[in-house]
Amino acid sequence: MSELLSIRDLTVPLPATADRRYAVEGLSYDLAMNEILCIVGESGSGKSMTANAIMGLLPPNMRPERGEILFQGQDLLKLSEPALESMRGRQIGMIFQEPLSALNPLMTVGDQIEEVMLVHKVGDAAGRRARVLELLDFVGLPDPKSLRDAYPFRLSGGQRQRVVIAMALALEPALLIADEPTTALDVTTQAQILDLIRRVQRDKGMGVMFITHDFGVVADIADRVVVMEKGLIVEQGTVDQVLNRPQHPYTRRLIAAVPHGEGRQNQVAQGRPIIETRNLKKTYRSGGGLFSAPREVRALAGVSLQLHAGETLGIVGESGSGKSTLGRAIMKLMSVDSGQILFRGQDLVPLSPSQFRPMRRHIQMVFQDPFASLNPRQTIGRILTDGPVANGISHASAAAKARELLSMVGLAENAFDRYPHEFSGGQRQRVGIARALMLDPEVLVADESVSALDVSVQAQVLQLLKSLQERLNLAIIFITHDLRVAAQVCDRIGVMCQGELVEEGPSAQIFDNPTHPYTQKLIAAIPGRNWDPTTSLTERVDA
Amino acid sequence: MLQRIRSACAVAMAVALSVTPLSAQETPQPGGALNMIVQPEPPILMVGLNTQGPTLYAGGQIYQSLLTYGKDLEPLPLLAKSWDVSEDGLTYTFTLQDNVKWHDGQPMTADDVVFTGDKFLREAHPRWRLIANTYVESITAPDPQTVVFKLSKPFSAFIYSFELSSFPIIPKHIYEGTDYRTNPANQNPIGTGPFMLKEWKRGQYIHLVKNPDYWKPGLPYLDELYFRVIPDSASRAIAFEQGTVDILRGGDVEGFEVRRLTGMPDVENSVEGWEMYSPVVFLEMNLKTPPFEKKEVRQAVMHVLDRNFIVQTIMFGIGQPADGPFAATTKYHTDDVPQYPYDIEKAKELIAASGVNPGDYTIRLMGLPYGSQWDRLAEYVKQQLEQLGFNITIQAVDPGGWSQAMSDFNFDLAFNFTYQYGDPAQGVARHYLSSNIVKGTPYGNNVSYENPAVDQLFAEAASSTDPDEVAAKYAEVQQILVDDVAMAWLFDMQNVTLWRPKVRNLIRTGIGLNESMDEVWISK
Amino acid sequence: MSFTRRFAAHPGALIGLLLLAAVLFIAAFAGLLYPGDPWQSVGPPLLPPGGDPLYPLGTDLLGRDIAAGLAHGARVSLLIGVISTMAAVLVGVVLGAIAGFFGGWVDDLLMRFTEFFQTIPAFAMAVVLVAIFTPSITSITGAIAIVSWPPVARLVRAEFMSLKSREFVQAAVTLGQRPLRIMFSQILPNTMSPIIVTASLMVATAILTESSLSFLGLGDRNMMSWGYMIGAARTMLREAWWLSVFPGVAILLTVIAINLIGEGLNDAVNPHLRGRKD
Repeated sequence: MSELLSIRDLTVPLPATADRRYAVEGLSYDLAMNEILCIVGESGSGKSMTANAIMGLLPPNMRPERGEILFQGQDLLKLSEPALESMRGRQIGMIFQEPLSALNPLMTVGDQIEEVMLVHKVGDAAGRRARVLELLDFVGLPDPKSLRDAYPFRLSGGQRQRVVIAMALALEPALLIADEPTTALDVTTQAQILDLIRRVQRDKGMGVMFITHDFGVVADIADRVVVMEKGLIVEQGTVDQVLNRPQHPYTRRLIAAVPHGEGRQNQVAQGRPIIETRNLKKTYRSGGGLFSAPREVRALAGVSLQLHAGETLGIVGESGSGKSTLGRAIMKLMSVDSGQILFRGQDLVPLSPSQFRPMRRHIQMVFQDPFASLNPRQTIGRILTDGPVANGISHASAAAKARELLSMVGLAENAFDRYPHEFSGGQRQRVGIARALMLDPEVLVADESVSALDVSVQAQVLQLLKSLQERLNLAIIFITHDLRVAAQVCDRIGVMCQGELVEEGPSAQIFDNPTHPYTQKLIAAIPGRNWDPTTSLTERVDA
Repeated sequence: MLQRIRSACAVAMAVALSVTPLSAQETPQPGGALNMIVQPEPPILMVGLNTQGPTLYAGGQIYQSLLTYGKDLEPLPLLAKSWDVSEDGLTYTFTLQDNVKWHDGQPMTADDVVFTGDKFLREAHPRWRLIANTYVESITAPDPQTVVFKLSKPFSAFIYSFELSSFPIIPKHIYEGTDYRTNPANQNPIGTGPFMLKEWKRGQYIHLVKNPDYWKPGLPYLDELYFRVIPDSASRAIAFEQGTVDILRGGDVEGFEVRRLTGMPDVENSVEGWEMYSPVVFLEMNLKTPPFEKKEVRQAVMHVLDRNFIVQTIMFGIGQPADGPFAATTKYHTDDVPQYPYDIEKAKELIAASGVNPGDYTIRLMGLPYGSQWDRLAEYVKQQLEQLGFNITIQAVDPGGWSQAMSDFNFDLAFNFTYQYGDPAQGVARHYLSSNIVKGTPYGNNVSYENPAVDQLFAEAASSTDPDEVAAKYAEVQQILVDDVAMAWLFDMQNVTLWRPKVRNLIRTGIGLNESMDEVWISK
Repeated sequence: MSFTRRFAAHPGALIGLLLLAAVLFIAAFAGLLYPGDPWQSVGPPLLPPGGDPLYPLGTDLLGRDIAAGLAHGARVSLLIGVISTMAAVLVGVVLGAIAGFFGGWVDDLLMRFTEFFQTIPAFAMAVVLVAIFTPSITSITGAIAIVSWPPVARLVRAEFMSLKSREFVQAAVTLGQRPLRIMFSQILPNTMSPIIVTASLMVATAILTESSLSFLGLGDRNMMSWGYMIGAARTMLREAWWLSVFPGVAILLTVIAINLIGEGLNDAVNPHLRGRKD
């Protein structure tokens, strides 16, 4: 029995009002000791469901209909709650996606780690305290002695995730379940956490179940892979088998959609730039009163760039780099402290809101969150026609154009009369793009426009953007944190770090020959760097 | 001639009364404390400056006047032990009691009376001022025990001017030459009465104690009086039920409570003690507001108000329907006046005859802000008048607002009641004399009624010295006023006094509880 | 689940709806059910309920029909409740929207102004206002509206502040929509749910306030309202219990009904608070 964990025919039904009958159906896979198993799927595939079932965290109205979960020979589904409780933490540890909500904001970090041991009545007080320091050191946190007394909000995202890992490891469980633990982290931090998990698994000889949607991560750490779609396993095997020789069409489609890190064929910039920023500066000031100095955050520290018609400029950076601030500054959704923003040579910065308003039609934005960027109370038609109507165009001609754009972005015309909640995330982003195009803009700012989408949908939307750009000769500023996406769609890339544009150039060059140390670090941190998705495919499967 | 006999009788009665206690059946027991309620709490107890009910109630134990009046309205001696009226009715001579001392020990003499009538009340008391300026030529004190009032012309009601609220005797040695209103004695009143102020805890009680040097030997029987301040009507009823207070004066609790309490064991009740005041409730119709200048309209109003219903239902049976301006207990009242029985059809006929369309007018009806019975009364009147086609809106006012509106003649219909003070010349005429159409008080001729015949009759009655002539003139004036419906008189207000049987001798005169309680005693 | 189904799943809300419908029906048809003036004496005074089948709820001191008073009083109470709430909501929405959307010194100024009203106890201020402007239906409605708008303004301001930074609002800005249009066509429709819930509860409070004012004698003397009936009966609690019990029960039922409906609305528009599983 080298199998640490065996799932046999696990079937969990969904409540009657859901769109399919089962959350997961007929799941069967094994996890051996001393290996990392990755469960891959898009949102709604049911990949988190197994983890919840193992830990006994399923909601009361979703009980497994049939199947077994054998952990070290015992069927967890037949265990009583007290027995499960003693197993959690001691034999099986779990880490979640969002570390901030996994940690109690009112307890110090040290106390929380200690609590795991307290609950399981392990050791005495002195022994526990020593173990806390040991764990903090083990997960690579600096200065454990003082960090032990820190509260979660004082730590960065990566540090918090390390604390959560320390909590999961406190009692040296045999199985570690990690549910999207790095999805909410910056790419550099993600690389560090992945390293940590690999190290931990090696040192302790644990079995790790790693749930993710990112094939790059899979390529980096998995030993074996399970691919899920809509509650069913479509493919499983070793990482080499699944990633390089995928059999199932769905797997092939997913892998095809993964943005590959090769540089695009560049357009050569011609003529005068359509958008140019010169030395843009913006500092956020907050707090400060009689007795304390205000906190200052430099969002933009003198950013200068150029964008030409028909060109896609990518702005890449981690969180806090200022890339979103740059996008909003260009849109004049935010003011800047100094510098110039030149649109066709005219400086936009000194213009008042009412002076700038008629010019807004030339520079439009596609937003990040498909669920928040459309007014839930308005029909798609209204959402689309609001822009032109606000600019003096008659409702009738705006409606006609809206229908035209709807078909251009690949949606049915009857979407005009429907509401946003009837559409999926990808479809809503298409609406967002259509909305931006209603005013015939010359510049499009895409602010993390595909970051919230599943990888297959992401590929479709990127494809759409590309075809629209070719047709309409749009200039696009593409803001993203995902270098792989940037590499696929952008002609030129600018890398931002803490408000500064540290490097800029054609995307192929950035990838193959990064000069700035930060850029190098960023590129090195891309997960799955060593795996080329295109090698698996004999033909591109169109979305 | 008749006057002489009457004054002789008065002397005889005075002698008798000053020596013998009234109730000879039981032997009064000295000692004890009497608990009453005073509401609302009076601003001061100085009755020379303030004649509101609460001040008279508590202050009436401290101050006294020359005379008091029986339940039959006959004048009785108080500080004056006897008096004499000349044949021509122009000279009134009062002989004062012996050995009367002020609460500070100084003797009371005729000089105090002269000061009171000539200076103090002439300045501070509107009613006395009117009488004094119209009729009194001089007030003199030939000796310390005698006061002489000389009138410029006869005034048949003059002997009724000496009740506690009309003519309280003020100590000259305290008030002469001072600013009356800011004199510190207003807070520490000095009188001749059977009780003195011991302590006043604002918001809680007024505590009076026995005057050891009271001029009637052996009196008062009681040791102390407590006037308790209880702002809430329901609490007052409870206080009486629990025995915290022994007496409920008329107005202390609302009518339905009175009805309930009178049915309880161990509770005495009486409507006596108000004869001198005899308030009458009437609806004033402003004659300057159309269509009330038309007599038929006013007569219609009298016909459409069922005064029996008002008394029985709204006032819980406490009161007497009124037919005219004089209360049944006021002198010279006569029933021989035009009658206005409750008759809606007749009222409608009168309206039609008047040629007036009531629907053309929006009339304001101002209620009296004294409690729920008055609210019901206003609603009833509104409802009845609406049956004739009037549009009535009820105005809500507080006492200050009511007083202001009345004084300014700023009303269409309003309720009012006033004291009559025994003789019509004292308290009734003021509402109907055209010379009294003067703004500034709610208690004058606020409807602007002008009738030269009425003016003349009142004048003649007041100045006559022949009692039969007086009665005839007053009878005639009643007939004219009732025929004219100068006001819509509703009912004689009755006030029920409730007390515990252990309290004896409580209501002895026509001013009831305002009387000096020197002969009141508690049976143990 | 759709809105109506979520609402209907709340049994209390359905009961409230039925009760309120009954009250509305009676108020609407008071003129037909009880023609004539409720102020008219129609029967012997102080008739107890059940004493005469013509007057099932009895009569009051002046012989007025209690049932007629209740029916006509329903109109007054509901009218005042609804109109004062509408006025308060209007003022609150406008001020809250401007404060929440524009922020900065405009927000500071408006919030200080709002706080001024909030620091004065609402009922005491209503009493003072009505007393100053002499009691009438207009002054009562106005007084209630004046003391009720601050919570609405704060709610709307909070909603606007949070919605202002949402992406669809920013999208509207980028499209070139003017601020006023953004406020009222983009943001306001998304704040309607909490406003409606709050407004429904405010109607109940307004009815209670009007009843309290009338009870204290500050009501419009020419309008028969439930509060007035209780106030008139206050002195006769022991003798004639039906004078105050029936109007009191009417107020109680109406206020409960509105509160239940408000709760149902709240649950229906905030499904995530009930742990909806999707």
